[in-house]
Amino acid sequence: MVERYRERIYLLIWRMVRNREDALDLSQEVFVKAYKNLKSFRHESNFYTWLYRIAVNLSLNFARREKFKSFLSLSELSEKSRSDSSPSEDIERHELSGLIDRAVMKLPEKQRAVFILRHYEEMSVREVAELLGKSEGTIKANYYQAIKKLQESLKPYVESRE
Amino acid sequence: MKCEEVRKRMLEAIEKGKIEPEISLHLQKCEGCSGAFEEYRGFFKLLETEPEPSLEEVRSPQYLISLRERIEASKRGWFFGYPKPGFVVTLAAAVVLALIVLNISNFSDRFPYVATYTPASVLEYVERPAPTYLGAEEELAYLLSEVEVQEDEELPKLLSTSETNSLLQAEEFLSSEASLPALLEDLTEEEIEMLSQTIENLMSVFPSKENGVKRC
Repeated sequence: MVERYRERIYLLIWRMVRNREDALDLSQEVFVKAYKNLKSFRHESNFYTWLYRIAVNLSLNFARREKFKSFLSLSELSEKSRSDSSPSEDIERHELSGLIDRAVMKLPEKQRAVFILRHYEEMSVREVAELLGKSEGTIKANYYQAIKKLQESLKPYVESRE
Repeated sequence: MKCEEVRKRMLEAIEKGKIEPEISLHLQKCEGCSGAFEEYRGFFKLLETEPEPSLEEVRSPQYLISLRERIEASKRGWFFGYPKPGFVVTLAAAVVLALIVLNISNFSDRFPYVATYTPASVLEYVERPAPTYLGAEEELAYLLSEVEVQEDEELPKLLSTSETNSLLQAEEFLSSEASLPALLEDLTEEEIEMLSQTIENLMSVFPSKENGVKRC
């Protein structure tokens, strides 16, 4: 199970949290949870969708905790841990990556989740709706709002490239 | 077809890489929509060029070793084998913290001169009719005494910029959909302790009852 899904789960979480260490930690947490709750897995959905749901929920909880920590004025600590990336990663991370990171992280949690599942995971509106337990209309609205906000954040960069 | 409808369907058209004839026709005629279409296209192109994160670490044997250790640890118990605190304890802590946090969340509404604190804003507030729930004379006397004593200096009993920011963040947090009890379940004991401490500290800098102004 781990061998098969670890990369996809890691990528999904990385896109949600935009931080290497947190994504590694959360991806392992997904497998720990899955292992512990394997008995509760009902075969109504496929296994990967079930793992996705765990990953998305963990990422959303994580995002809330981060927000909460910032409320507790611990943002300095969080910022510190965020800058603990490896030297090679620092070199690789160029301007565009940083811009998209910041734009995605600025999205409200649910819009971020919908955008990532739709855009990067290429899931249909219906699949995202099932996964997040929302109506298709809500997902469409969230996706549209997310795109509008991202587009607005990245507009200066897009224009400068043209 | 109306512009609003076209713009809603644009996203799908760009993602699928296929533009339906009716949308295409509209774009030829409508400058606004064709501009928006190009903007969307530029945006998605930009996303396509985004670099992928490295998968080196997640592919390494160390990842599996560390995962195995975590699974083993999860079998042993919640915290080095200690049992998880009971539901009642967690609920009680959540209720106490919720009361404290909710109490401070109304602070900026009740004390706008503090939440947006500057000496000038305090003066401006003094000139307004004082809210009745404080007792107008009492509050005015208090504020005037603060202003007279401190003049242009910072008022130690009022909030600093960072404390004001914390309160604003608290309000934002409380207005979000996050459930405090659910969140507390995720926090470690150390974090809960830190939360209590932070709230205590914030509360201690509020104008207190002893100083003539009610705590909100």
